[in-house]
Amino acid sequence: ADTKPLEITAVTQVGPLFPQYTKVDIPILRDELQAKSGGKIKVKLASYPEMNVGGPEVLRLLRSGQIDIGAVTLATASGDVPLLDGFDLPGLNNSIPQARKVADALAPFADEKLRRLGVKLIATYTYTPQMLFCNRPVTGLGSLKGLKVRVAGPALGALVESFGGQPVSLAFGEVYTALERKTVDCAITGVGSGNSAKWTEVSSSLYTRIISGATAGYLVNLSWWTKLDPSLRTMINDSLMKVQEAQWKLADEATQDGVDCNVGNAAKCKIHALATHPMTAVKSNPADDATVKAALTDRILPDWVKRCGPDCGDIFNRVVTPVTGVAYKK
Amino acid sequence: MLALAIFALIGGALFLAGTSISVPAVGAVLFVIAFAFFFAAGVHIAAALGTLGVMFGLIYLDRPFWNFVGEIVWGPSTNFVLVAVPLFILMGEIMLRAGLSDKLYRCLALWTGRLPGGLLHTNIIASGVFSAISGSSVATAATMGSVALPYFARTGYSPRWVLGSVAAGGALGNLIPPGITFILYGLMTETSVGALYKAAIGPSVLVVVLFLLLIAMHGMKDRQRAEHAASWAEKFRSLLDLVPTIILIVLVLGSIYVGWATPTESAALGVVGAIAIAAISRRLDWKMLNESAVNTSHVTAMLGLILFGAYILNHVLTHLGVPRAASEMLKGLSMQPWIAMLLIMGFYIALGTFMEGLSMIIATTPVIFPIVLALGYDPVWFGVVVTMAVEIALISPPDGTVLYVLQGMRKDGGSLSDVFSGVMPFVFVYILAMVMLLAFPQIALYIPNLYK
Amino acid sequence: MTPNNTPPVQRRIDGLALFMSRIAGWVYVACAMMITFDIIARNFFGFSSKATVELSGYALGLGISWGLAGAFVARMHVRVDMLLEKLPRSPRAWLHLLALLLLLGFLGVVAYGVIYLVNDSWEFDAHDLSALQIPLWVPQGAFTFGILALIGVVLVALVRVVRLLLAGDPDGVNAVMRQKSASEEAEEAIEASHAAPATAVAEGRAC
Ligand code: NA
Ligand code: NA
Repeated sequence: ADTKPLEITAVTQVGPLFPQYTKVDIPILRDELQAKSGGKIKVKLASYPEMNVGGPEVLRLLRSGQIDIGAVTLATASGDVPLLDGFDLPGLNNSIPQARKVADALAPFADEKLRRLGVKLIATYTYTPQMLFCNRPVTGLGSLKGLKVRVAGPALGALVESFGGQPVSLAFGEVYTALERKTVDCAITGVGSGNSAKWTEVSSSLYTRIISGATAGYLVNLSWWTKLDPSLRTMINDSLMKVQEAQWKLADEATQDGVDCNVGNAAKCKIHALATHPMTAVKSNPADDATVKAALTDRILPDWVKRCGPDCGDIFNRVVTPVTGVAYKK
Repeated sequence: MLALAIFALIGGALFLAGTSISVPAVGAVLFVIAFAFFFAAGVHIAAALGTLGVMFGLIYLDRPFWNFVGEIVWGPSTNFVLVAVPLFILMGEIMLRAGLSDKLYRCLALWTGRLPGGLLHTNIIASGVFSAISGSSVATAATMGSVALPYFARTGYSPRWVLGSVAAGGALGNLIPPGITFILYGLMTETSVGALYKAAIGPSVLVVVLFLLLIAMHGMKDRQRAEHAASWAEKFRSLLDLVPTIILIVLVLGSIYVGWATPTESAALGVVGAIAIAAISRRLDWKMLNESAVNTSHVTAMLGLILFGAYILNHVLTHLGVPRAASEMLKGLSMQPWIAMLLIMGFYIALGTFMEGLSMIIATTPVIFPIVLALGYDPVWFGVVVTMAVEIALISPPDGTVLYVLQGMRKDGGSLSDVFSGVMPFVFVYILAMVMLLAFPQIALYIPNLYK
Repeated sequence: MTPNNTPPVQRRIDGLALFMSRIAGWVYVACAMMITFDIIARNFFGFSSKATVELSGYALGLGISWGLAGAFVARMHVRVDMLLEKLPRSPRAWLHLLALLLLLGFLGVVAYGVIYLVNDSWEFDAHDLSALQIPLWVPQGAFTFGILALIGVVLVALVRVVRLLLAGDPDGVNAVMRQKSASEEAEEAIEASHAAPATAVAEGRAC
């Protein structure tokens, strides 16, 4: 029988040229899913700028049923569901595999809480982790004393303050000029986003310690999902599982690639853009460890539990502590 | 008539795109007719844009887009970068009421008055300097006009050239950084305002130089210059009078340059600086500050409402896939990009003759910008082109706010046609500069590219 | 600002709308002070507010929406009226009615959207991501109020226009709805520049 195919609208990724989009979403979520369904599914896929939206709007688009599948960083929804900040508290994850473990542990709880918003978390992924870009030489977080550092959100602010730095709140679009004109000395962002925002042109030192993650998720509109024909739902779910694996693998490669591209290592720069003004890489400094850990357990974690409610502390200790060794103390 | 050109352009994009998206050709034609009718019939621009968006959404979108309208208007209304717009308007209102301009003008007159063309040069240069503080062209024209025009009473200068040069000077207000147009454009296209400011430097210099050459050519013919030759001592003493202006320039542009403030934040410094200078020159009182605040709120609300309508229309068109389809279509056509760009420039100049400049940007950018990208033009470069189009709109007869400002300030009872004919040579020169920018994009892009 | 034969009720409503735009205007002044304070604190005292971006954003939202009604009363909302101006007075009056109806329809959709937004934020207890953790329904509620105020003044104008049309007074309609022309805007700018006492230039004093 010749029935009309299910048309899925999906909005994923911050730019149409992002590797997460070109190397994963287009080939797997769009082309492969369509092909495998044998004409039963048609996927309309777009990136944020193509739909003229930002992350918070993607979440609202999804909730109000304008789109069916959306991919956003979990921090985007943390104003509504504070638990989501627990995935990548500053200082918690120092590698991509580690962030994956935390994501797998917390995902069921996050999904539970996200239902309230009318969305379901199907799969997780991550953008390249956040690193420190500075327009002057640094040797580690210890060098932040007295420096102005652009951060997004209070948790990173707390980390910067614990090293004696001064956190500054600036709109992302203004950071380029701010680094260039030395309005701020440093800024923290994903090693890949810093590359695509061309911060390499205006900063000189890249501290390669992973300061914070950027865990994200593929969310679906809950009522759309539950009304789906079960065979199609399985098909879409399988596709997103495959996307999940591909994204985490890509993130691991992209993290090192982001560093290589930013420091002008042409031979190893495959995914991001090779910096025209190469930065100097500064290796992770073990001297930072104690202060980072103290900031996490004494300030960042308690602040988060205060915002999120006591059950967040319990969940954290139950599932995150076993994979990270970091515990929340009441 | 000109309006039809725009509707044809937008409709044409819809029509061309019709094959690959869910809007049939009939829809595109209806859209054009409804748009043309709303505009000609005096419907509020915001309502015309918004109603069309809603109509199209109801007919062609299968999603409940109305539940998303709140997010559509809330987003841009609270965007930090846009905060600079009311702040620059406020600064302009305060400086206008503080009469900050006369010392600047008198001082520059001593330095430029003896050139061929005489004080006419002062009109351009004083306005140019003022534009380095002010982000608004109307404020620049009103402030400089109130000082310049009395200066020319009982002189032999041709009133046409006096009015034309003051109007032209006003039309530097947005082009010379800082400028409101750049901020609005940056917001709507996600282009860095800092980069736009850098790209505006070359074209600003070009336009000023062309204006001065035009005046000099006129001056050679008519042998006009100031009668009073100032001594060097007088000239240097006069520089003291530039101090308040320089302080403001340092606050607004200098604070960005030395890194105290971001481009958005610098607008706030400008407001506080303007208040302080008004206080020092004993022009500050509650009444003037209150009037400045109320006017700012009205202008910003007017722009905001149009922004609502434009964003709703944009949302619906985007979800229909119109911009994407239109730009893919354009890529497919074998039209030379520069011909398409000339058409776009012509479209803006035509539209600008009867439309207010800032609303023009808000209403057209969402449709035009994807096309410009598809043609392969640099977004920063195009931001400068659009700003020049807005400036031309402000001084092009019959509906140019700057022209009415100047006519209203005249004490000689001359007719409006003096203003219209006086400004025309400058309008042509401005258009020439725009074409030069098309031929030599490096005029704009050289400085921003120094960093790459 | 309003014609002399304005009924007293209308005057009171206009006054309220203008009072709201005065608040909106002063919000901008306050916003400039706050950002300036942040700049000074950051550069000279080593600290900075952690919510300036969010707070300035809300200030802009409030400024835009609370100025809407006053801008309507001051006839600032732009219309392109090339054809309108050339029509005879009676059809012109009916087109003014059309403009008001479309404006109301458009504002109805906007109001529905923002009320939906506020309700959503309230129901889901949404907060912003700044250090202040402001519940979003508060700034969004204030924003919605400004849009409702604009609907209020447009409705009042609609009632007035319909009455005048029924009374067969197209000139009355045209007077009420007359748009502010570029020349009127110019006049205001000029008035403003002369608000201060005559300048030294007028006395012909050199510098
Ligand atoms: Na300017
Ligand atoms: Na014009």
